[in-house]
This record gives sequence, C-alpha cells and structure tokens, in this order.
Amino acid sequence: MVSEKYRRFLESETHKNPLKIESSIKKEHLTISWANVKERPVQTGSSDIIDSIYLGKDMQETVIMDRRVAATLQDHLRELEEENTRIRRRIKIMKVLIGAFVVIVALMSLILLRINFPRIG
Amino acid sequence: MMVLNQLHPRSTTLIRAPRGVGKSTLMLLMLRGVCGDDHVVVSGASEVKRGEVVGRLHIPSLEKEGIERVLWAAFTKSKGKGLDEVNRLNPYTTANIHHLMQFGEVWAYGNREKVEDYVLVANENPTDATSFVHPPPFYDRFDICIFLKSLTLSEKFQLQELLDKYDWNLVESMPQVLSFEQIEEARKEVAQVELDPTLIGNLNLLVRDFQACIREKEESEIKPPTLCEGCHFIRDICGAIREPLSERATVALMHLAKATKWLYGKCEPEDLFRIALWVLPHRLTLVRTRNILNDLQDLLERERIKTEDRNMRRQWPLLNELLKEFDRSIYKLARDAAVEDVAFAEELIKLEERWVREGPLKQDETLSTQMGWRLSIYRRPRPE
Repeated sequence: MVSEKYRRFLESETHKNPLKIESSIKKEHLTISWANVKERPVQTGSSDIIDSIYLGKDMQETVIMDRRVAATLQDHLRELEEENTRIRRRIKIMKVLIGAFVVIVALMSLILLRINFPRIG
Repeated sequence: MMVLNQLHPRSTTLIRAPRGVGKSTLMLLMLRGVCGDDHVVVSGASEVKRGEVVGRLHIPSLEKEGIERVLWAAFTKSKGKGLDEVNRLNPYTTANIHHLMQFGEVWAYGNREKVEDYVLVANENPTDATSFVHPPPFYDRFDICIFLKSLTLSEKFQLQELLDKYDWNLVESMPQVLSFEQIEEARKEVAQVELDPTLIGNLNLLVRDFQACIREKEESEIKPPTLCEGCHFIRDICGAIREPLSERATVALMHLAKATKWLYGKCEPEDLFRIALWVLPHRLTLVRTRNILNDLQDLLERERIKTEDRNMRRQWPLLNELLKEFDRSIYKLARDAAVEDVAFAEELIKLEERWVREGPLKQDETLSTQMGWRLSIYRRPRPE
C-alpha cells in the first residue's frame, strides 16, 4: 500500500520534471525523453544536423540545413551509393568464385573416390 | 532558529558552547521572553535532588492520614523549564527529565503527574571535564542544537553597548514578549499549516539519505568505515555516517518547516538545508569528525547536489510511471538511476518484489539479485 502523500510527491515531481513518452508506439518499445518539456515547451530554433551526426548532440523539433550541409550530405549519399554498387559487384564475383570452387571440390572428391575405390564406378 | 523552534508544543532546545560565551544568558533570555517569571532552572552545577526536579513526599499526610501525597516540583509545573550545564546533571535526574520529554509526564512514589505544554531550553559545554556521558536517546529528544562561538571584535563592541544600555543586566531587563497563551495559539496555527508535497518529499529524502545503508548499519554489529569496505556506495553520504538519524529528525524538521511557512509565508527546499544544520548535529555520529558543523555542511552540500542529480535523471517521475504499471524501458532507466542512489534503489527493490510475484519480471533479472542487495524482511511489502 502506497501512502497518498507519497503519491502526491511523485505526481508533483512528475509535473515539475515531466517524462516525454511516445505513446503511439507504447507497449512495443517506448521512446523516453528526459527533456523538460515544461521549461522548454516550444523549440523554435533549428538544430545543426552535422553536430547531431558527428557530435551526438540531441536534435530539436525542427531540423534545418543550409545548401552546403545538403551538398555535403548529397555527396556522402553518392559516395555511399557508389560504395554499395562496388560491394555488390564484388559480392557477385565472390558468388561465382565460390560456386566454381564448390564444383572443383566436388569433381576432385569424385576423382579421389574413383582412384581409391575403383570398384564403386 | 531558536524562535522558530518555540512554535510547536513541548519545544526543546539545546545550546552547546564553550564556557563564558553566553549560553546560560541566552537560555534565560528566551525563557523570560516567552514565559516571564513562570520559569524554573535546574542547574547541573549544583546539587540537584529528585524532589527539586520531580516531586517530594508530603510527610504530614503520610504521618496523619497514612496517604502518600506528592508535592510536585515547581520544575514540572512551570511553563518555562531551563537546564543549565545539562552534561553535569546526574544520571538519575537526567532519567527523570528524559521521561518527562518522552511522555509528557513525571512519576514519583507511584503517582503520575501530567505535564502541561512547556518551553524547555538546556545548555551544556560538552568539553567540560566534569561531564557525565548521557545516552544518545536523551539528546535525540532535543529538537534543535544551537552552537555559540566567542564574539568577533565588532560583536564585542555591540555587546558592550547592549550591556551599557541595560545597566549590565541583560536577563533582568528582558521583558516578556508574548504571553504563553499567545504562544499556544501560535502553536495551534502552525500545526494546521499544510506543506507542499515536494517539500515533504525533500524533507523525507534528506533524512533517509542520512539513514539509508544497503548493508543495514542500523542492525549491523560492524559499523562504518569497516562495514563500508567494498561497498558500491562507499563514496556516498551513507559512508560518512556511523550512527544514523532517528525518525525524530523528520518530526523536528517538519515542525520547523511549518513554523517557517507560518512566519515567513513560505518554506523552500533551500530553507530545509538551512534548518537541517541545527536539527542534525546532536543526532548522528560521523565516521570522522573534525568540526561537526563544517562536516555537516559538507554533507548537506553533497545532499544538495544529489537532489539536483535526481531531478536531472527524472528518478521520481520514472518511479511514478512504474508505480502505475511495469514497463521494461522505464524500468531499465530506473535501474541505471538506482545503482547510484540507495534511497531510490530501496523503493525500486520493493516494486521488483511485487513484479516478481505478479509475473512481469523474473527474480534473476532484478537489481536486488544482480547487485546482491536485499531489503530486510520487515521492509518487504506484504503480498496483497
């Protein structure tokens, strides 16, 4: 049994320092923010997305980026796409090589079996 | 602080100071200011008999009628009670006064006398060579402990001016500022004051932080610092306290917080830390004491930082959510906070026991199992 005054204390602390819980995905996986929504109810400023990517800083509600940042991101995305294509090509070659290797191993095994056990053939 | 402490029934104040600093004068000034001439002072420096503190047998009644009638001492009847040099009072007198402070009554020759509301002020010089060592529960019954120091240069001038003004007799010149009826009326009003839940929470947390020990030092035969060896919380406040506070500290803090709100219109958490400095020093024993007030101030500063840390971590909102229903994501955050905070860990462990019974949590997933922390059997919540 929990005292009523204790409950009131917890409630008043929650009111002063609220937790921001994403209710849409409740029960699956909660997203909890410790941001004090009462002290900073509306985030009118913008976040520097580069800071959030490289320095791990929290983003605000609105993220605005200038042309240079967008160009940098585009460049990064292009590089990633190229890297992706290059890796995909390598994977294809590797698949062919592995297939050929499996066939060679199978043939070698067959040859060795025939040499060691000629009666089987 | 001393005035605020008079605003609740059966108030008790202890003044500690070296000799000649004015502790007896301050005691008498307070008694005269509140009770006028209706005060009695028992001095440890003189020979105190039981009859002077509690009561004596009325011999004529016994001789003529064979009845044991008790003549109660003026000390028990007066509104103002003073104890001068309390550390020099003999243990028998101290035991009688202890009983008076505890139960509001006195006993003599099988008779009981209820003691009305009073103001009790005591003083002592603990470094006095002729001291008796009184038991800690006796000192625990004093609401606050005021420390006096010798006067600075400018204060000496101020005192001399005051002495000149009042013909070198401060005590005799002290008028009765309030009648005792007015004090009783104020005490009733103070008792009605409602405190903010946050303030009550901070007050209880302050006391709990000065009590809590994950290794149960209250019941342990081994005391800190030996008990703290290898403890996760060794750098916390609990590691600096040898004998923890009693619940009377909470009561005294509550009375003073209410009195502050009544007198000044508000009582902030910051006021609590100021009040605590006078409520705690005679109630606890530190592991290392160099200067009790400075050491206590350091501990209260650590407590202040801890409170801020708790707010930043949103500990109580997390606990509030968990009280409503178990949620693994919130529980994970609460666990992170609990490994840094004994008082919070205690509350979380209580909830864990409920969740283990109800099913959402397994015993081996709990903080108590993983950290090896267990609540005493009597602290565990009863199954509903």
